[in-house]
This record gives sequence, structure tokens and C-alpha cells, in this order.
Amino acid sequence: GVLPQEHHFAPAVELHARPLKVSSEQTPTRRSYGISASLSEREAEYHSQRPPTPLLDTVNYPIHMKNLSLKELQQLSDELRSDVIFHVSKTGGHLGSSLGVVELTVALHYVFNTPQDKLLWDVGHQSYPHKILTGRRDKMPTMRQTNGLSGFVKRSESEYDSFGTGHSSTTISAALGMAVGRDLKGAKNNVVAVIGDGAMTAGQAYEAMNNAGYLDSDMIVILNDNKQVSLPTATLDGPAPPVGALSGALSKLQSSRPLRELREVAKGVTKQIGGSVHEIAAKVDEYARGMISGSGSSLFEELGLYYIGPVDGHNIDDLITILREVKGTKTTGPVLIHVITEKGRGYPYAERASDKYHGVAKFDPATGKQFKVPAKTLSYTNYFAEALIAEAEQDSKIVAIHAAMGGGTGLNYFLRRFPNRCFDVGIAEQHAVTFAAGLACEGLKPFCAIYSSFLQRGYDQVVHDVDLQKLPVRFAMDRAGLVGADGPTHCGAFDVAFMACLPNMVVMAPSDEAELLNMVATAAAIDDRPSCFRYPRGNGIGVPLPENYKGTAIEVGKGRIMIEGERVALLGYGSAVQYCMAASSIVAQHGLRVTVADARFCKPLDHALIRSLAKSHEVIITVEEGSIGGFGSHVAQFMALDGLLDGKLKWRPVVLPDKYIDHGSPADQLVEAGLTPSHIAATVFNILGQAREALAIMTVQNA
Amino acid sequence: AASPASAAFAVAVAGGGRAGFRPPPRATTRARAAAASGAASAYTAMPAQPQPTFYDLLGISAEGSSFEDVRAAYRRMARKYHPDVSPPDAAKEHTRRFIQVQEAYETLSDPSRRTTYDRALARGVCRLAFSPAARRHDAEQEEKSGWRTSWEGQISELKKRSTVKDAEENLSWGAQMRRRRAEQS
Repeated sequence: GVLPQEHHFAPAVELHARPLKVSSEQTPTRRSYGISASLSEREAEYHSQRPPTPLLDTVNYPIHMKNLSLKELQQLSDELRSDVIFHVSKTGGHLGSSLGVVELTVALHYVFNTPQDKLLWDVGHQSYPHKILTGRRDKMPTMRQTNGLSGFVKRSESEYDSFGTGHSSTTISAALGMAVGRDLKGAKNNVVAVIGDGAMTAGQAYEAMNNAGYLDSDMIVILNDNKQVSLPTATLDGPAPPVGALSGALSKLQSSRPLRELREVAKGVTKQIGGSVHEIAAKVDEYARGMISGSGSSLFEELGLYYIGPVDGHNIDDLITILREVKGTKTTGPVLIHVITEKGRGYPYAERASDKYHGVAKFDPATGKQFKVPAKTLSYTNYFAEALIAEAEQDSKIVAIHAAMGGGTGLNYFLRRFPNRCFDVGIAEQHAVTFAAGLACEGLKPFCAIYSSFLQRGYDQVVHDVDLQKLPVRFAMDRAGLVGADGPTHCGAFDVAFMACLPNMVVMAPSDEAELLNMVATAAAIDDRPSCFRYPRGNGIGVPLPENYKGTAIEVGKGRIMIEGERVALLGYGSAVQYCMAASSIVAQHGLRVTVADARFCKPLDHALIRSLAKSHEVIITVEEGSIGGFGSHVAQFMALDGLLDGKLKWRPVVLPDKYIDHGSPADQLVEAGLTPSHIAATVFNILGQAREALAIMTVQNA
Repeated sequence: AASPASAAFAVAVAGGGRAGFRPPPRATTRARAAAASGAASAYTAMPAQPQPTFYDLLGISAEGSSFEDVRAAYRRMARKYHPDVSPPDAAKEHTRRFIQVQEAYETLSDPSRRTTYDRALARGVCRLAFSPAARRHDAEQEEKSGWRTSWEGQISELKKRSTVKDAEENLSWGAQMRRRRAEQS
């Protein structure tokens, strides 16, 4: 025994991760105490070099798998898993979800004949094994990079990618469309949609199932249930219980014991009596399924989908058996196969991590350590969370709402500080917006933190439930503008356009993190109408911040001049102001000092600022990282109506081009979009008729 | 919570949870078990000695205890039984208890493992020593083999249904298209 010594005694939670000092009589039954017991049985070794994959090397397309035996398919799954881990360790990306569906991917491609049979992945970022098996293994090192593989399913990338996904919950609808189209054409292929339990919290999934049950077209829906409803799959302090009541219902399906026992009893009875009682027993069976199996399966059955499950999603034998049987049965109508998987399965570090390694940077496979680039400033997401906490400390009416994105919006921090004032509604943006409207009716101050592109889903609710009734809901739109590796599905290009056209909405955008803190305070103070503010992905630029992240409300409809200059005014909105500042430095090298102004508000516009700029400059260039119809258009509208364009003033807009910018590094995307400081500087000189300077600037950039 | 005959239960539970041997559900465990026990009356006598569950070990209630409760209870128990602070003559016993408390915490703090454990409890499959890899594997395997029975039944039901699915009475759009396709081919 050891004498107790205070300083040896670490807090109990830390003991969880350290080996204990035990006396020698104890014979450990496991390798080491203290380290979490959830090691998988097969603790494979992960090399930093490419792992050997002899069988996977022979498979380039699903057709190469058709002659493999069950044992070989299991080996293929193991190799595929190590290959995914190896590739993601080199490029970064989404890991946990792909690991959970390795066996499912192998089984699907083995049983079905893609691409004639359509395979749809609702969770686009779990398609890494699918891509490896469908001719893109050699391109995996380019994952999520400029001109490389997309991190999501993309129709233009491969014929095996049947439907592009990125926003979740759309595949049942698309699959039904493909099934009906097939029926109309008289074809015979299968249609299979893989959807997750998180995606089932969205209404569109039910809309689709309702229609599928009604139309009764043959199709297969695979419900991939890993109990990860929100992202990340944990709060800051530990695993998060799934939000919503549906998860409980799905859990009940897994314990079908009462039904099985009734069935055993019924079978026993039938055997004894024999003969025609069989029909009666079959009827009992049918009724029993509805009554006893629990409310969950009868929900799917009521919607008209035939329910099969639960099924072990990591058992290839089971998966292949079931898929083969269902494929081989003619006229099934819509069938739902409930498959249970584990996110991050097969990679111990992912299994143990509370976020299951959902999205990772480059990491070392042998230790699971991610290579995080140290940054001097926090991300805008962090600043937003801190600012909201600071506001909520002083105002107890402030509440926060998000749609299954606790980590991505930073509201996990808010949840930790104010557990009763943070609401995760699941993947349900429409509901989140109207829910916030309801809260506002009761005098609370709701902040809806929804990514710019995801807010598109709740747009009618913004218009009809919030703006039309002038309810003071605050929208914090993260990931505004280009987002880098996630690509066009996550790009927030349209929020300025669709928010600023609403009559009652206050629309603003911070140009740096200090402004963001102030705008959070401003939004908190605007209590008579809805308001919104947008901020980009990325880190702050490094400006002095107020104490405790508590911002000060700024005057609504007031911009500011950053640099006083002449001839040309660069009027920026949001983070584009920083590009304008950089552009002004470039221009200054050629002897011209331009004015840079930060509009801050798109609605209401700072009329005085615009008038003064119009009167004292030859050219106004509006710059924003958004589509046409946004800030620039509003400025032009005002100037036209005010008569400012009737004289010698020239106006030019700089916006995102009229096309979708593919995924890549943020720098590359800016070049593709024509929004770099060099582009802006070149535009200045082009308008002034100084083509030589413009060319010089662009040549330097491209050198 | 002090458990009776602490030395005995480590041996006793070694037999439980293996595939093929299922002690019947106890009356006091859970409501779900009570519902199931009606259909399970074919099973033989119940074990004489009540064995503590992970909840008993941590001193919390099975229903309604949150992650915070579990963690607080774990900290209390861990402080009590950590070998470094136990008196020398009780070190061995305390170490064993500490390991069990740790397993209890690991199981009950993870929502999915807790659900699996609750279900296994309801079926009376096991009470304690739930998480050593082999035994957990067995319990899970048993649950999954139960799944197999149920989906095999569902598949045969599907096949039965499909034979009558496109009879003339079925007026759904899909059935009409299937009939048309069958006529054309």
C-alpha cells in the first residue's frame, strides 16, 4: 500500500487518462488501467507511411469487387479503412463519418451495380470510402484542395456520384425523384439513399417519406443511425445526448425484445396446433408489429415505408444478406433499412474522442495528434461566442438558438455558460427561425446563429414569420462569403441580397473582430425590428479588443472613413474592407492615395457618407464578398434616386462573379473570384484610364 | 454504496453475460423488464443474491441521473477508493472497487454505452463488470444476434408481402407503373 500524500492525488477525472500505481499483487486483466476501455479489439497499427493494401490495390471500380468472397470483402473493408485514415491524415477533412460507413459502402457497391443503380449519400462528407472505390483513389491526396476532389458528393466529378449533397436531408426526396423517373422511363435499376439519424431531424426527410409512401415506388432508404445528431458530437464537457425526441424513438427500435418473444411464443403455439392456425398467427404477427415494436417502426410503417432492422452496420455478412434479399425481391415499394453504426469506428483515437474526429486537420495516424497551425487571433466564431456571452451576462433575456451546429457556431461555449438559454433544435433551420420568432413574441432576445448558406433553408420563415411581423430576432450569419475547402455548398454568397431586400431588416457587417463585438452589442440593443450581421470564416486580423469581449452598440446607419484620400473612394462592406485597405496600399505604391470607407450597414445605408463620397470623388467602387443584388446594388439604387449618378460620378461594383466558385484554398478562391486586393487595385487604375498601372499590378500578382 | 459480499460478486458475475446463459430479469430493475418478464415466464429461478448495478456502485439513481450527476458521483467514489489514499490493509479491496467505479463511470458517462447497459440491465443479462472488452463484446454480440432474428423475420415478411403487392386492388402510382412495365415486357 501507499501512504496517502495530498500532492499525489490528482483530480479524479485526470486519473481517467493516466495509468494507476497499483501494488504488484494485482494482475491486470487488461493492458493498462486508467486508459479508457473503449479500445477496439483489433488495435491495428497505423503507420505514417502508406499502409499496405494488397486487396484494395486490385479494386479501382466496384466491378472489380464482384468476385470477392466474404472474407476478402472483410479484408477489403479493413484496408479501405486504413486507406481513409491515411489519406485524411495527409489532407485533413472529415474522418469520423467515413469510418462509420466503410462496411456499408463495401456492401452497397458489392450488391448493387453502380452507376446504373443509383446510390445517394445524404451525408456528402462520408463519401470518402465511396470515392476510393469508384475510381478516385489516386486523387485522394487532392481532397478539398484547389482543382482537386470535392469533400462532398458532386455530380460533375464522377458518374458514380448520383446527387450532390452538402446541406443534409435531401436524399430521400432526390431518390424518390429518381425512382419515379425510372418508373416513367420503364427502367429497372435500383435506387438507394443513405441518410443519417441527424438528417432525420429535418422536416424534408418526412416530407419525402410521406410522398414515397404514397407513390409506392420501389426504392431503398438506409437509415445510418450512429446517434450523432448534432455537430460536433459533444459539448465542451463531454458527450452530448442527442437532441430531440426522435433519437429516443430510434433507440427503442433497437430493443425489439418484447416483439421477438411474442413471436417465439406464437411460433411455439402454432407448432403445437399446426395447420390453418398459421394464417391466424401471421395476422397476429402483422398486428403485433404495429403495436408492440414500439412507436418508432410504426412511424415509418405509417408513412408507408417497410421497416427492416436494426442491423449491425459493421457486419458485412449481415449487410450483404439483407441488401441482396431486398434487391432480389420484386415490388417492394419503399423499404427502410435501419443500420446501426459507430462514428469513427476502427480508429481508436476517433472512437475515444468526444467529437469522434468529425472534421480534422492533418494529423499523425500513429498518435492521432492533429497538426493545428497556431494563430495569433481567435476565429470570428470564437469572438462571436465570447461577445454573446458578454452581452448575456448583463441581459438575462438573451437566448441563443442554433441548428445542430454547436461547435461550428461557437454556441457550445454559450451552452456551457448558460445551459438553459441555449437551444439546439437539430437540423431544422426553418423551425429554428420560427421558434426564435416565438421567443421574441414573449419579450426575449433571441440570437439565431445559422450559417449564411444554411439560412437559405429557413428563408420563408425569415420573411414571413420574422420580418413581416417585425419581430426582433437577431441573425448571426457565420461563414459569409467564400469558405475555402468546403466549396460552393457551404459558401455564403447570397445573404446580403436576400436579407437586405426585406423591408424591416437591419443589415450590417463587421470589418474586423472589434467591429463584430460592437455589432453583437448593437443587435442586442435593436429591440423593435429584426437585425442581422454576417462574418466570414477565418481568424481576426488583430485589433485591440474591449475588455471581456464586451462591445459597445454603434449608431445604426453610420459608416466610417478608414483612410482619407482623393479621386477614388473604395466603399467596402464587411470583411471586404480589409481587401480595400490592402488595395489602397498597392495603389499608393503607384502614387495615388485613395479613400477607403467602411459602410458597416447595408440597411439602413449611411446616406450622408455616400453623398459626401459622391461629391468629393470621381469614382466610387463598392466592394463586397457577396453576389449581385447585395450591398453594391443598394448603394447604386440610392445614388440613382438621389441624383448622384447624374453628373460625372462613376460607380463600379466589385462582387462575387456570376458562377459557383469551386472548393480550394481561400487564397485561390479569391483569385478565381477576382476579389483579391490586386484585382481591386487594378480596377481602380482601369477606371482612371491608367491601363499600364493596372497591368503592372496584375502581372506582379500572377508572377 | 457498500455492496454485500464484495469478494463474491467478482466471481459471480464472471458467469453472467455470456451468450447462451440468461438469468431472468429481476422484478425491481426497470419497468421495461417488468413488461417483458410476462412473456419470459419460461425461464428458471432467479439468482438469490442481489448484485449491485453500476448505478448502485456510484450511488445514483438509474433514472433521471444526468451526466453531471454521474461525474460528481464518480469523483466522490474515486476519491474514496483511490489506492493512493486508502489505508494499507484495504488497498487491495479498494483497488478492485476503484476499477469497478471507473468502469461504471466510463459506461454511464457515454450516452450510447449507457443505453446499451440499461437495455442489458433490463434483460437481466448482466449487472456489473460490464465493460471489460471481452464481456462487453459478448453482451453486444448477444444483442446483435437478437437483431438478426428480428430482421430475418422482417425479410421473410417482405417477401410474403411482395407476392401480393401489385394485385389489382393496389391503386398506388407505383403499383400502376409496375403493372404497366410488367405488361410491356
